[in-house]
Amino acid sequence: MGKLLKEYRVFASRKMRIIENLCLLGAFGLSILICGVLMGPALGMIFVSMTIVLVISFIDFYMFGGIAVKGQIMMDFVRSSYKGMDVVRKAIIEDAYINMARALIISLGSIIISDFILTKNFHPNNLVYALIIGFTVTSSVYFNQIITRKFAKTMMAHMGCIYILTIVASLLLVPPVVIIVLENGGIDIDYIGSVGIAGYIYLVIAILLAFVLNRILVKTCINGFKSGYRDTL
Amino acid sequence: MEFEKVISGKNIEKDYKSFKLNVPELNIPKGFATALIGENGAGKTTLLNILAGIRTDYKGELTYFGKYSDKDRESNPVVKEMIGYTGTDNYYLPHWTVEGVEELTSLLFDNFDKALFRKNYEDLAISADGSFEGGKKVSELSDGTKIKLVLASVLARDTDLLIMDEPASPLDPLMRDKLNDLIRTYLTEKEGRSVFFSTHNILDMESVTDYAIIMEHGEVVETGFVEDLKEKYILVKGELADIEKAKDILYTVSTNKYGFEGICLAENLDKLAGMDVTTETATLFQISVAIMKKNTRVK
Repeated sequence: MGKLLKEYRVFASRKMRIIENLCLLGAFGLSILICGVLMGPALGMIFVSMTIVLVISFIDFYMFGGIAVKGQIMMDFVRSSYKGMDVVRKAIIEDAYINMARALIISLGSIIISDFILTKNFHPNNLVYALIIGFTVTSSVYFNQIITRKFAKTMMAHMGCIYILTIVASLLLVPPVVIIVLENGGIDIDYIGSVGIAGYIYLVIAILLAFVLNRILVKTCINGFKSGYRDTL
Repeated sequence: MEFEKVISGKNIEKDYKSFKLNVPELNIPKGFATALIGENGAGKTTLLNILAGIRTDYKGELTYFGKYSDKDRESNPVVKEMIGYTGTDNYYLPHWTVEGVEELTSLLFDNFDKALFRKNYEDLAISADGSFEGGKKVSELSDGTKIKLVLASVLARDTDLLIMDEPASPLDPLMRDKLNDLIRTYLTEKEGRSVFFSTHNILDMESVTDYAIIMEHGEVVETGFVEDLKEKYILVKGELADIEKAKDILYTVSTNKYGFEGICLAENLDKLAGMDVTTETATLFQISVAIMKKNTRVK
């Protein structure tokens, strides 16, 4: 584990990552309360929660440098090394895995809360659904890596390309793929209930809400610590 | 003059919206310290970034160490391992510790020597008591000390070329003197090593400068070994009465109550015949300022 996450540990501040995760959980909790109530069914709640977590993690990371690869000055240093970009890319992938783990934990938490505590009606499809999303998002991470490695010559292009692809993958690619897979698997998507146009609208509202809340919380906490962490980005 | 080159370039171009770097020919001598001089916005950082492989969106051809192209630089790990680079500012993130910097640099560069880094850390007196403080955060260091940390790191690698962008600017006079010593030591420790640095602190860096490249508005306007430049450009001092006649052939003129002084081309000295003037060897600072003034757009 230590060796696997070497690059990630070097680039990221452990304390800041903990703060970010806590803030993300807080923002996520508030959003899911609102959207979960609106969407009703437990699976809809998980769907929203998973997507929110993933999208926010990616946007937060790529736009605001969760792992701090955006600082252009530091990128000069990285670019001066032959393998610098590979080290950063590896750190990015490691960060994506961490986001995945975080999303799965929150998803399972949602299942426990909704199915076992709130509705007392466990549905095994929920677990399948969580795994499908996980694999789809992981694929999109690799897709990003392949695309940016092939076409992006400068760091800004690299970051821009990742950012756009992430948005596209998260907002467009993931939900339809999941729905198709669920349908082909004989799972009744009516059960999901809100994963239609209304679902998308709720989803977008939830994402924006969680995103804003997350940024406010992160900024407040980090300013509280006066680390200057974000000032360089 | 023919000399062995550590980097040579042809038709290097980089377009920005309001600025264009255009260097038809660039030669940096091998085995010497070369200063890149020019006013703010002359294109120094852009050129250094291109040479260090930080910017790759440019036109032109580059040759490193007489045998590697700029394509090799991006595809052959040997080239960038041979080049040490320091930017205009500290590029370590504030939450990193000194040990984090050490770990990151060893991740990025195969030729990074941790023991040498710690020795450099102590030699450069980065900590108050001279000891290695691995847990110290970058954010706790002063601006000058951050640059010392960058220097400790880059000098802990076995490179053949150092590219440094304004290394002297954040340093105090004592440390600038130390920087000159470091450059001299770097050059003499291993044969064929070269240093290419940009500077506004020409006076402080003159003692270590062998070759100078002067840029203005994205173009190289003068190059040469310092000793040759000092033969090419002469400092002229004369009576105030002659100033009007002398003005035409002088690059720059300054006056005081005793007379005037300015820089002119040695080949134009005969045009001052008949005037009561004395000549002296100009410093690199005086030559650089004269050339910059001649080419500047600053009124």
